[in-house]
Amino acid sequence: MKKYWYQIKSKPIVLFSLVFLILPLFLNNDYAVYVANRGLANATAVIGLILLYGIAGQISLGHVAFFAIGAYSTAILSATHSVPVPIAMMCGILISCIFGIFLSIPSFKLSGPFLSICTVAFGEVIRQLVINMEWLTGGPYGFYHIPKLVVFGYSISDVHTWYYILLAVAVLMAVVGNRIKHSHYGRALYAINEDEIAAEVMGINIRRMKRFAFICSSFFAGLAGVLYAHFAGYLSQDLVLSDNSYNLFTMAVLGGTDSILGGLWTGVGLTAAPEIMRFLQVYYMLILYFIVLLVVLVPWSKITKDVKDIINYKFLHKSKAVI
Amino acid sequence: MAILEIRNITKRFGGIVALQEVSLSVDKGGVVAIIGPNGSGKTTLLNVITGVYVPEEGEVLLNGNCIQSLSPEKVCKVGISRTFQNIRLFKKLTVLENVMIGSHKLYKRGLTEIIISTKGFKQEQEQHKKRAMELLEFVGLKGKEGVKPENLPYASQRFLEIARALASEPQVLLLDEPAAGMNAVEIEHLIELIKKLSKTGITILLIEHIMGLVREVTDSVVVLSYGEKIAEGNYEDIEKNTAVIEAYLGKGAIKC
Repeated sequence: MKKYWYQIKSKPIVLFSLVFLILPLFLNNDYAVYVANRGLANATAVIGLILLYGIAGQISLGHVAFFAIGAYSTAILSATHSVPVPIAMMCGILISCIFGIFLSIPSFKLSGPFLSICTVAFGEVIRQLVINMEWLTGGPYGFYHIPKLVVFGYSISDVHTWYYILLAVAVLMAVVGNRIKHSHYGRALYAINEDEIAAEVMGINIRRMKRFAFICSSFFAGLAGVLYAHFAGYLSQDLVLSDNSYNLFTMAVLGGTDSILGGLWTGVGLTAAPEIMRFLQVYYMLILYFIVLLVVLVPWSKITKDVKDIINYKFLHKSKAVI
Repeated sequence: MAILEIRNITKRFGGIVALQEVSLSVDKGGVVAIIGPNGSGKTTLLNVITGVYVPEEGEVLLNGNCIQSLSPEKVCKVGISRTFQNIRLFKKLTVLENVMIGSHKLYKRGLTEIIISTKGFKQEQEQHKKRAMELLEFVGLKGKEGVKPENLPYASQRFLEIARALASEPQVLLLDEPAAGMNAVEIEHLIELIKKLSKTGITILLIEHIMGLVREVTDSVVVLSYGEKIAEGNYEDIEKNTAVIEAYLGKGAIKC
């Protein structure tokens, strides 16, 4: 057993999966599991945002639009046009990716705040389309009766089954994200984030890498969206609110901007936070974002380093003279 | 035979003529230095060669092929690599990863192989890692692989830039003031490094203000002043050239 433990490279992912495998035992009602489901879907979307923002440095503040595109595409295809659910899901992801390619075009010329405004606009356009194209999306009334996912004749409607599907997807996507991060693609993304001229002189095609980053992030968000559509069974325009985009962004930043595992934890954590902190009533926003500020503003890495130094000094190097 | 040839390059920024009809050629395996007072267009010339700037007139030839209209990324792919005057390392990546960025263009495996993490991809990754380690050892940065570049001494950062440029296996290496900010010992190390590189067949074009280094390593020297080439030849001739002395020290310097 010990031997196998040493062979596993990414122990944090194993830890994450173990914690979330046993979590349903402690969730005493279906609603709690449903919230966890939404958390895992958000976590999957956050992985994409981490690749896009944390690693490639391209800000997207309208990210929930990709989530919504995926969700509404699969819903419309499977409910209105009665396309088989798995095919509709794939189409949803594909359509989301196509929009990702579109959004990557302004990023060739814009950067920083200008690009972020552009992505906010993109998110708003999608939101307005969802609300106003009532014949297609149900508009303000929402989209109901989305067919259940059927695998080998089993209709998956149980919230617990969905929980494990979503957990598997989130963990799998985290592994994929980590592999991309630690490959030459990941390094190239870091390079265009920091210094575009140096990156280009090193033989990196900037446009190609930016497009790749946007496709990646829209893929992850679209995937989360299609899964959400089928486990929730209905879609409302609340889904496309810009608040959700900012939430996704907060999750990505809070997890440590370029840490995919951190994004998984914060993705689930911040989705569940409003429910956990319900007893605080109206003050929950205040307290939640106070905690967020604490996490972001306090230099934790320096503090942990200092604490480690102190411990080392006190307990390990007592006899050594300190210069 | 000239591997890199620059013909009548003119580059203007609005009304300012940064380079005027500059021509030079670098033989295969040779070491050529570009010198000149500040603002004479040396870095601009390097930027023109690497495709960062597109020249208004003239052409840049590598092995007889026109490259002046290519993007920097394509120029790197045809085999020209460079370092920067103001160090441009990637701060978030470690020293080893910085060198591995240099070999980006040599990766052949695609995205699907990364995601499945195939054996071929792992082998390729290992191979590039090994090569990067060798390069780090070559420039004298062995044992610093996991360090962030900003924690390295200034001179080591310059050596790291050279290692990164070498990782793309260039035919021509352009060094923009490699010795700036180095002490005497480090300059000695750099001279040895350039000599060793030159022996392996890499052509080197460098900009430098430290004449000791230029004398030690170069086959020929090109002098720029106000965007024009004022002299060319071996170091001894350039040292005595009146036009060069005038450009550096002014007209009065020749009389005394």
